[in-house]
Amino acid sequence: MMPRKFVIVFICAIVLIAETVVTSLHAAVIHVPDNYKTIQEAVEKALPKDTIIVKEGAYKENIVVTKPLTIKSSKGPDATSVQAYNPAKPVFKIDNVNEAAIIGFKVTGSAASGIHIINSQYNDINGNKLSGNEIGIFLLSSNNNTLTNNQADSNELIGIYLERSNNNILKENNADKNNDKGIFLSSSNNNTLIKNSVYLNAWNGITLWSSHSNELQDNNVVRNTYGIVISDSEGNNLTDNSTWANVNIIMPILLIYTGIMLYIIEKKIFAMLYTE
Amino acid sequence: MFGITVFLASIGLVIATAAFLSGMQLVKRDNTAVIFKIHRLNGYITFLIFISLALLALSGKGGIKAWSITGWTAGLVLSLFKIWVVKAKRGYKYGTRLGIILFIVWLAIIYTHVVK
Repeated sequence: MMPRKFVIVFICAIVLIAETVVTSLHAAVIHVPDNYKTIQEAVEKALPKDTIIVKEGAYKENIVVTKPLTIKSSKGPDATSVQAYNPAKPVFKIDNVNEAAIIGFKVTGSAASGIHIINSQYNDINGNKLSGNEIGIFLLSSNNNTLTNNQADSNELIGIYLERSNNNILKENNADKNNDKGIFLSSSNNNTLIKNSVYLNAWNGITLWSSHSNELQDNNVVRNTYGIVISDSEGNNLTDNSTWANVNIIMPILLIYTGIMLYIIEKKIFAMLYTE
Repeated sequence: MFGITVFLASIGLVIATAAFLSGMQLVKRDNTAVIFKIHRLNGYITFLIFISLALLALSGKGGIKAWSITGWTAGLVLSLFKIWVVKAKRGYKYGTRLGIILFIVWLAIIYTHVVK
């Protein structure tokens, strides 16, 4: 009886140790360019759940992510940039992946999009700076993703674009100075937009087109040609958003008028002060 | 977005307008001591704001650029030349033209800091 018990306990212990070893093997950390010269090479060689740490520097690549990986820069977007090698393709493309993460890159130079997420869920896009792309971040048929602290500024068309994408969270992102729209939701439902800053876009700040039941809360949508534009959309909940159109065009006139008023007041005050 | 530069540039144009109006009245020989005091006060405040804006712009994220230095230096030279012309009482008639140019400089500053 005793040996059988001992064998069972021994087998359980072996299984437990094996599982721990396998898990730790899965969660390997790969360094670029120390282990692999390019990010794409590291992505291809990595196993699911691995973390790829990218050293500071300028990389010229088009990266296609097809497995759940965390790709992270070691020193943030100001020190680590990825430019599109082929401008016709996205810089980062997450295709049919669940639970991948792209953190802390400067992403530029794509005539498609900086980060393109297709048919993917539960991905985390955090702390990236995207400029000089056609679209900063483009989610297509992708649900339950989280976009936080990204700066999608000065792109040719749109800062952040969701098409047929539901239940995503966009929190504390910047979408400024894009040549068309800041944040654009097309046929996308139940998304949450919280505390995003959307400034100085050529046309609309935030656009909801054929998009229903989205939550817009505490967003700053200021100095765009149009603030929040909602079309063919129902059941959206807007609370505590700041919108201010681009009245700055007439600001010089207001300031000059204020100057004239100031001069009149000054004359009266000085006349009172210096009367003999 | 609504940073210190926007605030300073806005205040600068307001006071520059008041300075410009007082200057016009001085040229039209409506030359009372009160108007002169107003003009001098507004002129010095706008000059200080100009210097502050220049320092903020040149020490900002964009760094020091050749065209930026050229623009701010040109504005500074114009302001100093205007002060010298008035103080030295030389070429007094050019004071008006310099005043108009300085006012246009402030409109340019407003365009770059607020409108654009």
